[in-house]
Amino acid sequence: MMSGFGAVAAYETARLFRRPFGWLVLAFGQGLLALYFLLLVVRFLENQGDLQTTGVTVEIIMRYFSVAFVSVILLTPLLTMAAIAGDKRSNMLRFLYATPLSTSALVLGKFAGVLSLSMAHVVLLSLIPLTLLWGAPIDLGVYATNVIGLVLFSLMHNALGLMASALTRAPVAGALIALMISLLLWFAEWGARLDPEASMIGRWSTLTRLRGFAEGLLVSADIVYFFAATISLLIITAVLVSMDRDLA
Amino acid sequence: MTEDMLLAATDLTRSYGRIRAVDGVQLQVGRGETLGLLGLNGAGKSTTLQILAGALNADRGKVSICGHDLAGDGRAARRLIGYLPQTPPLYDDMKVAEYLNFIARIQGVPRSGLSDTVQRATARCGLSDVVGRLIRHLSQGYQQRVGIAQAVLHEPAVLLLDEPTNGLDPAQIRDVRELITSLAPQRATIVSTHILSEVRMLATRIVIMHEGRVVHDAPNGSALDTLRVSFAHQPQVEALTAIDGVVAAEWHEQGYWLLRCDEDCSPRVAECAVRAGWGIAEMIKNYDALEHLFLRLTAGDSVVAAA
Repeated sequence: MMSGFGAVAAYETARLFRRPFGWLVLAFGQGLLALYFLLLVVRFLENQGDLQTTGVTVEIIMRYFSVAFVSVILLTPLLTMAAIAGDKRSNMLRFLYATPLSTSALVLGKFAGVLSLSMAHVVLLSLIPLTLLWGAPIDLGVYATNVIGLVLFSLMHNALGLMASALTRAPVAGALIALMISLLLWFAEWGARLDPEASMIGRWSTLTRLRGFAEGLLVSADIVYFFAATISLLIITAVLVSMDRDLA
Repeated sequence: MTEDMLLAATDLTRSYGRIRAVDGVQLQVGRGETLGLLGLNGAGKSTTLQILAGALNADRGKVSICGHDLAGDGRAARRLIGYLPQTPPLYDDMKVAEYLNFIARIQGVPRSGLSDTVQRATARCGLSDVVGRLIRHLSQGYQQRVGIAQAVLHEPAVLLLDEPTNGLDPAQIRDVRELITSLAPQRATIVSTHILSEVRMLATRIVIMHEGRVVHDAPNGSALDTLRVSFAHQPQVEALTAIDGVVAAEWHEQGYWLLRCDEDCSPRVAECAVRAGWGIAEMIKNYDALEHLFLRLTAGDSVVAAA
């Protein structure tokens, strides 16, 4: 049923790790987040004088992860943009239609490939705050929910990036489409705040859905939201790829 | 569909907006048969091949590969197809062996047989010396070979090659033609090209497409009787057309007559020339026949020749 999935996933992973661009994106994200983490620690020490006090989790961990979420919005489109658009541009996608590879194997293989580098980003980001374990009483529960939130948020944004990549032959356009949709979903909560009658929009906002994870709560509705969004976006991607078979 | 009829396409139609790229195309190709698909640029050859390969959906029509319907039983049908598009489908950041391994996995070759399959294809296509090289570092000729290797890798019953000698130098063209000839006996092969000499050499049957339609479908060399003949003493055109079997006679400035015949009329022309004392200097059968037929059909004079 999923013959070829492994081959596509392995190729996509190798493509991302083989080219310097993926490494540059990863290094840039890690560098910025590490610097931000350092600034948070320095500011905390300037205000409190000691890491062995309460407030480390709120002032460092929670603030750090709020920026980590934004880094996913900004960097994921750069990793996913060429996944399908690049194959469309080189006519490789049309050739793949002539093979026994199913659309689901193709889309899931691409998804697994782009996830490999994104998850490397998430894992490394999540390891940085653990350095506080050497000298500060951090709340590991809050830390864990933030990591879970980050993983789910990243899953959804990889699926979104893949869908945007399936919409165009130009990878840069794919990245811009993904970024615009991500920002719309992020800022939807602000729109709801401006107009109380539009509270429904706020429920669709990723910012609203991340609040629980950021504050140390695991809300099942939020978990379902991210899983449902990821699956829906993958299904839309598969439909877009299938429709492409009808187009010139 | 007989057991040896490996590919059958009926009423294939495909439009791009208002332009009908393929219009009611019917094709049948049997085992061991090499069909040369000729046509001007934009005649619908590549679109037809894309539809036959399953890379593009037709608006109407049906394709059957070894009895498997391409629309209904697509995966089984696609396993039996080897397809080389006009531009070789390559991931140029992969090494040759990696790429062929990737294609073999997609084509459903069992893991245990991957290595042997790739080795056989590289040896057959003369790629053994470059298996460890990145595809983007290969010459165009070698990239084309990699494209052909991926098409034959899984031993398909049907081989669809879209302009396989595109952009190659004469030595590479000769090698690719030899390769196609060696692959043909066990398969149904379609070679799309606009190079007439290539079709003459490779094809057992010639199909000419014009404006999306099949305007000629006949065995290579049949229904194409022409005679190029030079005389020491030039006869009148009426004297030539009066010969039994000669339909038309055209004088060419290069100093020869081109006779179009409705059958092999060379013995009667020779007999007449001897009797009238014209003195035959040269006589070549079927000289430029394909070119004349091609130009006539693609100039809008649609004559469908029966196979």
